[in-house]
Amino acid sequence: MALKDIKSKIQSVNRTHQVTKAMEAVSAVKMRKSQARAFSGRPYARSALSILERLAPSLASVKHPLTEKRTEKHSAFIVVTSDKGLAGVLNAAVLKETSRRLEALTIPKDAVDIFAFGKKAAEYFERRGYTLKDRFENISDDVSIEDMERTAQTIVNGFTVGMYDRVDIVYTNFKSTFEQQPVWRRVLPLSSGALHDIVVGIVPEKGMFARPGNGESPSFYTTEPSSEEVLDVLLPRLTSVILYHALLESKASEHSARMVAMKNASDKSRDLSKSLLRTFNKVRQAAITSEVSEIVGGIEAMASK
Amino acid sequence: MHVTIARVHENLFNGEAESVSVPTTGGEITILKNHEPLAATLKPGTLTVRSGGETQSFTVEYGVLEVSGSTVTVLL
Repeated sequence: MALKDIKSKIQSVNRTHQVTKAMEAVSAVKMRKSQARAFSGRPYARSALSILERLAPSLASVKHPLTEKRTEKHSAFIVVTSDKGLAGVLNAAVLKETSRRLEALTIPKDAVDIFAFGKKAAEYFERRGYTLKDRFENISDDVSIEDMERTAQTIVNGFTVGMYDRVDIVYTNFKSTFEQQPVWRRVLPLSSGALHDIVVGIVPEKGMFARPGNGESPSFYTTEPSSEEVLDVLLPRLTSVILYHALLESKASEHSARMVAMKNASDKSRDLSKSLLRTFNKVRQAAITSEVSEIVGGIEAMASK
Repeated sequence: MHVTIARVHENLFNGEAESVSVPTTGGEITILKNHEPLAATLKPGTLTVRSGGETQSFTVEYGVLEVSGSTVTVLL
């Protein structure tokens, strides 16, 4: 390779390094913020779910439209990804999990409605010919609860009037900065089994929120004014809590994944730039050596005349 | 008695308290230690937590109260 080519290559690698390094720093800040938000949302979600779980014995006996199991003909899928890439396998993992779950459902493609949070999910399912019921892009890091409630309302209404017979959600669970995991949950119809999974999934493995929920479960509850009314308040709310929680977790995961991906990229570009510089020096030295030997050869040829 | 008061996006109160007064749909009630297990819906009003001579108030629009064993959970 010519000297000039190597030089321009080094420059371009260094430019890439600067970009990835800046992105790493930005993601690190965003990650810290969104992690704090995801964590602050956890106590509520955990309490809401565990109240419901403890009310669960009555959940089986109480007839509520949101717990009713029906033959599955129409389904809604909520998929949460990021808008932008450069975040490692994050989005690919969520989309793969969704496809797997969609295949496992015995519902034809045109009876599935997709609610896509994030551009990547919207593009993916549009290309594959699914019905995109709603798409949300450019969701800022501070996810607003009002927006969530609107979407949750649409979904809860859709389920109540029989437009959907089941509702699922796939998102990324934030386990730690280095570990994010795509998870699938059934949102509706609510059942105590599915709720238990969500409660367990919400408690992080370590850190300040990693305390197990209190196991004491009273066998009898006084409910005021009635179990139905408590459930009426709690159940629709819970749907929006699950949704809100999924978005927060996904945001925290996205920024963590991007930070790690960018860190790897800038480490790699530093290594590459170093090895290119070494090649550059070698080539330059070779050129100097050959020039010197030519000159020496020339002098000797002249001296022997 | 351990009291947790949380909104979806923030934790308002988390700690020990002697009593909690809550506006439920059935009327205002005060919960002391060893209250029987209870789940109730809330109506708009003011929620008061008393712990060691200190009182803290929160505005309630709507929510759910749960009392079980020695823990009180209020979700606003």
